[in-house]
Amino acid sequence: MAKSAVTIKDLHYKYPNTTSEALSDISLTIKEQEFVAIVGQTGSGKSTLVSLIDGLIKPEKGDLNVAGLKINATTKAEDLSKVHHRVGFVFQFPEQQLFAETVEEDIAFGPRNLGWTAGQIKKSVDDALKMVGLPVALKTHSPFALSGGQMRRVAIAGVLAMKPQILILDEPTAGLDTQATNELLKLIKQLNNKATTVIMVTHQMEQVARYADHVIAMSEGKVIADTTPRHLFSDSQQLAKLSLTLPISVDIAQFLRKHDAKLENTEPLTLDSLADEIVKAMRSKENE
Amino acid sequence: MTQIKIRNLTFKYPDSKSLVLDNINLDIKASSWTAIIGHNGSGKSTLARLIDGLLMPTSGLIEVDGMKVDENTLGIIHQQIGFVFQNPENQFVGATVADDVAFGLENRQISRLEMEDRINSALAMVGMTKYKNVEPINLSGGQKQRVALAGVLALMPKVIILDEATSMLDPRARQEILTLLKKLKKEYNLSIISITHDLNEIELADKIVVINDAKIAKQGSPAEILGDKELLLKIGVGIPASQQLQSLLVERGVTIPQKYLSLEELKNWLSQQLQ
Repeated sequence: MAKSAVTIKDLHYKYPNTTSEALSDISLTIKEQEFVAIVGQTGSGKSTLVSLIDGLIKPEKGDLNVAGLKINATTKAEDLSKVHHRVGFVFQFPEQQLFAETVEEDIAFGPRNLGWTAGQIKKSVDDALKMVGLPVALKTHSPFALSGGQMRRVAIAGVLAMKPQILILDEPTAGLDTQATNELLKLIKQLNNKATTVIMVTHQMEQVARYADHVIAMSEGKVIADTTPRHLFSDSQQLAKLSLTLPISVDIAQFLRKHDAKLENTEPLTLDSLADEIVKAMRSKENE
Repeated sequence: MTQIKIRNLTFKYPDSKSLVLDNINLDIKASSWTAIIGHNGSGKSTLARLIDGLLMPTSGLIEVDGMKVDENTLGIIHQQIGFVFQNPENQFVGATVADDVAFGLENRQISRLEMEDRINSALAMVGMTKYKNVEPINLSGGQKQRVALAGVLALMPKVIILDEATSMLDPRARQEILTLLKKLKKEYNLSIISITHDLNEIELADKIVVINDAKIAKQGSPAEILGDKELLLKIGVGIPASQQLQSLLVERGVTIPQKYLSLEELKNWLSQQLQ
């Protein structure tokens, strides 16, 4: 049984000067090395939840355990900041936060703040560049002279340089073209395969279907579903309530079923498995 | 009828040697939907800005409704063409939604009464009437883009240019905006030019223009362009799901009658085979 990376129990959170709770009564567990997708409409509480996991804010009630650190309403600021040694957070449009004159300085910012030695910092910058698939020679370039996809990689390298055990990404592919999107997701999956726990906030159900082992669906500050992608996509009533779309492969399968096609698996999570299902159904029809 | 005519258009920035656009020839019909696609940096956004007179050509000609786009006609051109940009955050100037929609009208010498009318009908067109007195900051991304669109519609343009206008929206808000645009185009005979790399948006077009390395690499119907996988991969747009599934089925020995099927056509064909 895998250890848990994040445990949340009876959590409540309200933003200052507001009356309604942004999060109410959240309990969930994320295991080490899982690839978790957090989905839900804008304003459902996804970003608040990941901000709590990153120790950016404290809960009002309830407990969190993040990579072995306990967080509750009484946690002191200096203890809260320890979370940043273990959790990396890639914000939406992270390239907007690039600031340094060179790629190297930008990526080194986090490790330097963690108080690492010059040698450690240099190695972490090189490692991070390799991880995001950028040539080390790019170090001396200005980050602002790079393409949009490359700028985003530099911003992500800045987070990876701190070697987080848990990586949180908020809509990491927003605004990228298809090619840059696919490359970035492949990279995130590779990091996940090398033992990083990934928590990804996304609106893209194709990405959930293809990459996530575990999906947490939120609505109005509550967890509505905490399950596998396959299970979530099989419950069309639940999906409609959450205003979520179906991945295209599941959408086609359900359309065919509605029109009397006999498909064995009605939630194929990829086009590949959908094609398999269709071919199987065609063969069995021929044999009838 | 040709609404926008582009001949031998070339553009480069003053301090640069390389051409951003190189000998572009293009006709855009009235009441049509044209998608302009290509890599980041291919020159597609520059082309849109040239059509609207936000930039001036280095050489060549652009005509809108038979009128040459230059310094003298800019005022009239801007009345005919509305522009919606990528990031709604950067487009807001008013304290309320109504103020914001009013902004474009204020330099048009329109009576206060008519202005009020136009604001109300533009907000109704985009389904934002009840947000009239709301501060733009309190709107969602999709709502902000609707308001930006209302600001453009209030000017009653003939052409709307969307420069990656849906790329920062979530899929549901994006679908809603596209459905709305489809409806407005039909009801008001608008022409739409969308600069995009979103496949859903591309599939809505009557005509697709592919810009690559400053030149038009290909132009044609969705079937002609979206069936050309090699080209789509080259420009980083990706392959539509319908085409991917078609290839996967062909690989598995399924014979599919036509070369290009849209997603709807493919779904219908498959359901006939499996019934």
